[in-house]
Amino acid sequence: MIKNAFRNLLRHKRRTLLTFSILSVAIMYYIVIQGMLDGFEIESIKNFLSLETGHVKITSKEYNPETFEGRIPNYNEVENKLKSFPYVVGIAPRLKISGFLDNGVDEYPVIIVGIDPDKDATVFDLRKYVQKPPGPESIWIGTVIADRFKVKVGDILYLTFKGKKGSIVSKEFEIAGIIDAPSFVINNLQVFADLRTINKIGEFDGEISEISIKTANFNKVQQYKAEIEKALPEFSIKTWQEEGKDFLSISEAKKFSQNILLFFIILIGIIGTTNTLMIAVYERVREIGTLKAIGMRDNEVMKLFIIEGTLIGIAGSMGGVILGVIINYLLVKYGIDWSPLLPKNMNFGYRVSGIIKNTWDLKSIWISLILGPVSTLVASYFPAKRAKKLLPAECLRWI
Amino acid sequence: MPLLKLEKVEKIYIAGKVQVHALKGVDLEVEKGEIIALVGPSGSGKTTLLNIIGCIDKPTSGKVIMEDILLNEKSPDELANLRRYYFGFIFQSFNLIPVLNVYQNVEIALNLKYPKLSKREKERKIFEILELVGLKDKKDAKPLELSGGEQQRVSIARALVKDPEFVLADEPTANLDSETGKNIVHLMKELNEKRGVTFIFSTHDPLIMQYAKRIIKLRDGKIEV
Repeated sequence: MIKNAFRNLLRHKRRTLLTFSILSVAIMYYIVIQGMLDGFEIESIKNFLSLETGHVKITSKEYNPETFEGRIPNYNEVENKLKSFPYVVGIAPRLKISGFLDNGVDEYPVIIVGIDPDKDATVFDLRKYVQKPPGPESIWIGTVIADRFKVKVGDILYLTFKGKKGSIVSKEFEIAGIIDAPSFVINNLQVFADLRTINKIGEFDGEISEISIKTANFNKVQQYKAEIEKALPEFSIKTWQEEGKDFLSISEAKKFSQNILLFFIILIGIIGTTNTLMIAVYERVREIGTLKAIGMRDNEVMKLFIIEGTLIGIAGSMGGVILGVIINYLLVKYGIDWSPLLPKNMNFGYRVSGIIKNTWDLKSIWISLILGPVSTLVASYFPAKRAKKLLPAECLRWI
Repeated sequence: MPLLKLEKVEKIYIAGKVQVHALKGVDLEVEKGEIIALVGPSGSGKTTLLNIIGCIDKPTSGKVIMEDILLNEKSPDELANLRRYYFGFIFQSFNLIPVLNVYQNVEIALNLKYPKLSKREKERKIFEILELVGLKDKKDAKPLELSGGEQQRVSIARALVKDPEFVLADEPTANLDSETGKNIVHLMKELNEKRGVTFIFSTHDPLIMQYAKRIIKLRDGKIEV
């Protein structure tokens, strides 16, 4: 029966090839897009952790991330407690305040991030974007900010902010580095300065806004959080997932788009196969009559068409998977340079820039191998049922 | 006891609002080993009667009895089994499967009746029947590569390979030249004599009528006495 189904598929090679190709391309597209979206997500999470949040963030319970009010005094105590956890591999205290950057003509609102360059580097990867750390007289600025002021490394800008006691302070800084990182916040809004310098001129009495930590395993942050919370009950402890709520929404949107993609692939499989088999049933009505007349049972005729449909699905899935694996392999190896398509001054959620490599999403391959044949099997059911229902005498009278 | 018996068989086709009374109370008894020619003008009900005898159509009323078994109430699968084991069909337009070659067209019918036959035995039976119809040399040819007569012979081989009780042939010589038609009729006669196969033909062909043991005339869906 399988042999016959195969022969039947080959009788209209062009039609079968078309259905096969549509299904293959759809499945290839699914595999490549899955690999691409996963590549974006993995790269994004990596950058999010290494540039913005760290694995776990500790703030005072009163901390307001909008105004940066509610700071932590005596952070050394907290730091010492954190050091006792074996899985804490990096601790970075940061002081965040709102301020302005100006060149004497224009001014631009920024978030000033005071960092201890050495400690910060144990959690964050900013150093790979700049040559030297910020010092008492120098700062890092984001690339979009630099573009606005049309400044380069070595130029001077003025930083103005409100100190702890309410007085407005201002200081001249040399630009030590311009950061072009895959982060909208860093490129557009942040100015990195030396923590001690900011603390001193703003008279913050050694206070900081937050402590970010890096752990041995970012997948275990929930477990770590519970332990840290026990040790530091008076503080607010947030994991990177809690900090990156926009991520979760991107991830949800991604899942939604994946499901839509899958839906369309199934639809393509079903419509293509139903169409091919419906035509086949009508073309072969007399043949169906003959098969029934020589004693083929209705269910056997039905099975013949279902096998034909499923064969298209199997071939289409395999073709799609082979094509998808080849293209994905190239994209895993070489990636695509997305720079022209990723604007620096727009926040589109993903923390990516430059060349992004695909990843291997084995699940999408399995899904393709299963869903292709299953969808065409479902699709062939109705034409097959039509063939089953035809009465032999009616078929033989068919013109 | 007759092998097959039809009692007051009627068949009405409904096409939209039009009703066609194809058979109007046909009574018929068929004995084993008969050669029956159904004759009559076009539209007299010959094909319909053959279809009902061969269980590929159901009567609107009346009884079809085969070896004391009433066939009217049989399920589609039971009727398919009867066609598979007892009947061989020869169609006017051959109805071969175009993607299968001569051998495979015959094989498909044999496989249905004897699915567990060994490959060797299957080959033996198929080659024997192809030899009988003179097509052993063309076993690999596709139907479209054959002449009308050759296609009809494949159709005959397909009907006979499974050793049926009945062979029902709908105008088997209508599409053949007279010489080929003659050969085929001789072949069927021979099979009837050697194997005791019961043949029922619908035909306009005087040659077939000449060989028939009984001629049944149909007109307007009734048997003319």
